[in-house]
Amino acid sequence: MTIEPELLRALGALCEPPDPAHRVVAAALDLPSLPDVAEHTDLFGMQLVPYAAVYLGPEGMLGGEAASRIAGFWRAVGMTPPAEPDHLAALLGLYAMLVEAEQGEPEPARRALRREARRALLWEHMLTWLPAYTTAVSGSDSVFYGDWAALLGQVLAGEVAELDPPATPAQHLRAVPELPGPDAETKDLVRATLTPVRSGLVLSRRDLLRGAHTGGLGLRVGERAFMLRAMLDQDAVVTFGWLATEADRWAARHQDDVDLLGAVAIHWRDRAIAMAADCRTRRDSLREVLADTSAG
Amino acid sequence: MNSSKNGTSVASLGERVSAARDAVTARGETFYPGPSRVHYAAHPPKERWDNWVELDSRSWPKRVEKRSMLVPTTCFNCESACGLLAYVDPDTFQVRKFEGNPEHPGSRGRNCAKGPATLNQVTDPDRILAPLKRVGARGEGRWEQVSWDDALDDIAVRIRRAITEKRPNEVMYHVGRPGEDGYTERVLASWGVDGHNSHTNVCSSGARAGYHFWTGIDRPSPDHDKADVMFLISSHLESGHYFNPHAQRVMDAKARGAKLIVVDTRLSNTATHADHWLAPHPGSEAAILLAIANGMISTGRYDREFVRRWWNWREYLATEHPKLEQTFETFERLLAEQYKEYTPEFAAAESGVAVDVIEAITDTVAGAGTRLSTHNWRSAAAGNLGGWQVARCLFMLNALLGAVSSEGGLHPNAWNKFIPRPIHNPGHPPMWNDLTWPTEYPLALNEMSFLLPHFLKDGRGTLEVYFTRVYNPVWTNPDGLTWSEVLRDEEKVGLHVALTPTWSETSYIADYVLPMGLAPERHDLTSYEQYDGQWIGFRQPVLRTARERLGEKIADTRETNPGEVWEENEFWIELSWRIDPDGTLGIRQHHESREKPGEKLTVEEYYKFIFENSVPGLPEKAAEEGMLPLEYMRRYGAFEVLPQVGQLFEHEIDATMLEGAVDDLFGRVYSTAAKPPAVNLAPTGTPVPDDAGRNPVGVRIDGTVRRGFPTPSGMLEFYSPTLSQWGWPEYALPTYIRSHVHPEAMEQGQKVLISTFRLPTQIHTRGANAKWLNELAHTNPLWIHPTDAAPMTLRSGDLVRVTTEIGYFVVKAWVTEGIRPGVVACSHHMGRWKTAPAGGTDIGGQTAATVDLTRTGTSWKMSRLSGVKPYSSNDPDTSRIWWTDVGVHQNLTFSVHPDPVSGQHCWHQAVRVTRAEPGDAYGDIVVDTEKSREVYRHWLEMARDAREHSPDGTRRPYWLMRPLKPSREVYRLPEQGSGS
Ligand code: SF4
Repeated sequence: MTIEPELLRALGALCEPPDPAHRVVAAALDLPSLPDVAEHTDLFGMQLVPYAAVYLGPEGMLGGEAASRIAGFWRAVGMTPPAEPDHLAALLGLYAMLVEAEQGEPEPARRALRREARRALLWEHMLTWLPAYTTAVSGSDSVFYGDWAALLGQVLAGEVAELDPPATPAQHLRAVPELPGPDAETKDLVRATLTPVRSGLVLSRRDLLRGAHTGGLGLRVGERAFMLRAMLDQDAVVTFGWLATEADRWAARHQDDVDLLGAVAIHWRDRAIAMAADCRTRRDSLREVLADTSAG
Repeated sequence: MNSSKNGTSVASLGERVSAARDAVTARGETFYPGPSRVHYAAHPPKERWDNWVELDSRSWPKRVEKRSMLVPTTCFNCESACGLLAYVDPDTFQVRKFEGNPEHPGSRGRNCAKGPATLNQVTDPDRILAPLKRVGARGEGRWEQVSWDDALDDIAVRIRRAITEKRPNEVMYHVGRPGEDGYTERVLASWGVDGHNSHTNVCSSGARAGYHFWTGIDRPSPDHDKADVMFLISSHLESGHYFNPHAQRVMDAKARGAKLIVVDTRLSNTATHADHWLAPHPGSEAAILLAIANGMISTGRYDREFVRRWWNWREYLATEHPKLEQTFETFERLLAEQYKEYTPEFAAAESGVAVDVIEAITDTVAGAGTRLSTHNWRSAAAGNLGGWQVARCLFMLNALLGAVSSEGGLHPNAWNKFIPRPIHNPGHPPMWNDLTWPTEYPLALNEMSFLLPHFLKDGRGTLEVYFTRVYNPVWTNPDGLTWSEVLRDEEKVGLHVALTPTWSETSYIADYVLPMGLAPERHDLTSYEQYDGQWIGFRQPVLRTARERLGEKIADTRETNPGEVWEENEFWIELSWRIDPDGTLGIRQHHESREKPGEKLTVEEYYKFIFENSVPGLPEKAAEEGMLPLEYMRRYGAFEVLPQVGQLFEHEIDATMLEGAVDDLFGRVYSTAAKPPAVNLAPTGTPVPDDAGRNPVGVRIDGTVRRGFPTPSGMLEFYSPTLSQWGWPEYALPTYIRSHVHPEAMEQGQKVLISTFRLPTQIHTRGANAKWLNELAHTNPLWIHPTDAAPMTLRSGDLVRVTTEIGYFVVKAWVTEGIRPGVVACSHHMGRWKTAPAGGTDIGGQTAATVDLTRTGTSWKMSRLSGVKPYSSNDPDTSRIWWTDVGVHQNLTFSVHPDPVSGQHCWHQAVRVTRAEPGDAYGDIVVDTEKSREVYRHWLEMARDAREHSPDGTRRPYWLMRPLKPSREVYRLPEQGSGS
């Protein structure tokens, strides 16, 4: 099947702040009626920011190595990287352009080259994080963006069928730092947990809220690291228990993608499994310490 | 990932969306509404500025909505003039916070720490809230509150008297960084006085001279954004002129892969980001630059066509080598000859930078082609005797590569700046002020401001009314105690009026302290060269605008400012009316309304006129949004007049301008066509008409008349006939001048002290009482290299005595490898002080140490009684001051060093650094002002006086820029012996 580049652009446009002009775009895609700006801000500004670097970078933050790698890709295909080269809308726009470039190229050798660029963008900079990301968005409260994410997932799946993975594994997933060892300080552990490519988990503010609620913990509002640290400070046993369950869920989700995505999904799955095991070990050893203290 | 649905539905959606796009675009509408993305960490979309809702963090866990009206203004804390957005509470009319204005083309929504800290300044518990008049002796520290009316009348009477008694030169206005474009200069012009005095000669006039002699324009505008190689002789990423707007573009370029070269003797934050960091011996920078130039010339790595077309080589050959064949090839040979002595080895010996580093940099620079952006502003140009040649040699690299106004190159600032025509434009003052423009310095780019107290002591004049405007010469200038002596002397300075938002060492010894507004409390117009484009920024009293948006009518900015704080625009109009109440002096007419003749001009009308009539494109842009131009500027705070200006000098001159055209020998074209009025008043050099009175209109390049540069020749003046004819033939070409701190000029055991660098979060006196900023930076230790510290067994924190020509100061050492051995460095940004209040007002609580200052004849001694401490006020933050240090005021121990050509004060000092002696205490300062008189006289002797060197009987080359330009006849030197 040949993808229609406009579809990618349209999906990209819809993760920008809603504008009345988007109504036609959403209608053409059979999506529910356009949400208000607040819903968009909550999802893309507060919960799940749509920048690849956050999901692929070893710090789990905007910018940094992952963003420069993506900027490098823009340059490699002869374009000046935009201000936010790793924003999802930018990536989808670029992908659409590469598809068009390939489709419009009559000369077979050059056409093959363009296809390689498209393959690289898909497997290096999109499939390495978007499956986890769209899954997380699908799980959000937003009906509109839930459907949007599901559609994006389908489109990407179609592209996987179209383009085999390249021979070399994705750069972003090579040499990702392991989870910190058992003696790590809380702040390092918290950072690693909130770094999706390290932990295999995508935890939004809302997830933490849910975690606190489930565990009967008070919630301190702030950045996610602050929130998670506050949960650990209150009750580490409960918090590690909850994190382990979350990690199990993510491991199962990534497992579902293994057939389709191979090594990429295996990386994410294995990280989530390790995370689950790590959290359980910590929880159990803490329990022991607590038991010892109360026995003593 | 959801892959469950079959591919056909996806395919059909693709077709549908394509069809929808085609249908929408066929109607001429936009399908995708453009890049509407707001950076998530950044700014509220402008559509919602009227009613921006956030949740109040303090009310958590309740979700209490906080509404703000967002009103733009322009930061007043440095010359970058970044856009600010004030978050105004519409119920209480208080500013909650300041953030960046994303609509500002220069700063693009970003600020440094000092922008948001404006809030501290607005709410400063020690703020001056009403006009104050001194009680008792000057400097005693006792004040009485007076009405604006009384203060204005008193000042106006004195100014009127000086004007009517033909003593106009006794009225002087001394400005720090103006932060506005030309308003006050026009006020002075309207009074008919040559009384403008600026701080520029302690700041940037060295660099300005270097640029001006080349291009006829005195500032650089590097297009870092698009450069491949950026070459900074400064610490531009953390401080420096326009640093925030430039720094963000430098970082963008670096992210693109551009290379950064930084020359700084100190490991500045900027140096840490460099691909090549050079730490030369101070003063040797021009030697390095000429070695690079030589490396390019000798290997033919320069743009021959550009040099042939745009350098004034014909004039050079004809004047200096008339017997040689007058061809470009001859010039190239001479050029290579001229610079061949500047080998990498020579530069390495002068600078201490390794030969291979210089060679590598030469290759990098040569490889940049037309994408070389360079910048020098203060730094070496402000530190050294002959420092002006540093900027000149740096520009030479651009001129060799044709990287002038090119994409990614260096643009002359006047083309990247827009100054609109105001409602009134009074003519030139008909007199010359020798106190600011003495004949000894005919080529000084700016007023010899820092020599003023010496001139007054010499008996060259007196002042009836002296305004210091947001300026603190006692603290900022070298030789502050000489300033202090003179400002206390009522015979020399009749009335000292300090226009200032904050207390300062200078305002303590004023007669009137008049509170002027901060960034959100005043109107001003700004425009600065920050990329290749032109924009204007509007500063406005945000509460006035907010209330007007809600339908109120405000006639006077004092109605919405704190206390009785005013703004300068309205103040000057009011004062001008009181100087000339009936209009007989011809002053009032320049401050009258046009809409209502005979009535006072309002700021409203002033800016309305400018925005409606003088800014191309603004009325149309405003109309697109259904607004009037003034409304547009009040709403968005900035407007981009012209993006991508490019190479204006290449523009062909319209045939209508060539009426009666004649060429001079070197292709300068003069014509009898009348000059059309300029649309953009950004200042440039003003080449003079020819002897027949024809105006210079362009320059002939290969047969075509092009606009060229505002130099006498219309070309880039590699060879400066001006310098040659006015007594400096040895400097007619870009060359290397050995500094006053060259090793050969120093005595055994002396070190160079670099004092010219800022602390990134401080801003001279303007940072005063900004609690956040003081918390971030509040000390200025002496940087010293371990190899220099070792012989004294000095450790960080130990006290050292730094002895200058006129005294010494005692400061803490910071032992660091971040400075070159043999050189020490101390930032001038710290060391504010106040004398112990003798029953007077205790002021400057967060910033200034309390000192004891004693004077015995010409000997002064300052000892610190206490640093800062917590105190209670209406701001709970003042009780949380945890630091005591405020740094040491080293500038007091510096004497004046006027560069004989540019007039720039040469800041670097040859000092001795020793361990503090028994009895020395931190912050001690000892100075003998008689010694500073000797140093002044010594440097004065280096000058070449117009009375001996003027080629045409005038005081100064008329074409050179001058902030206030007297009429041409006044340029004539007075008859010898007749006095001035
Ligand atoms: S102080 Fe900072 S924010 Fe203000 S104008 Fe200067 S660089 Fe911009």
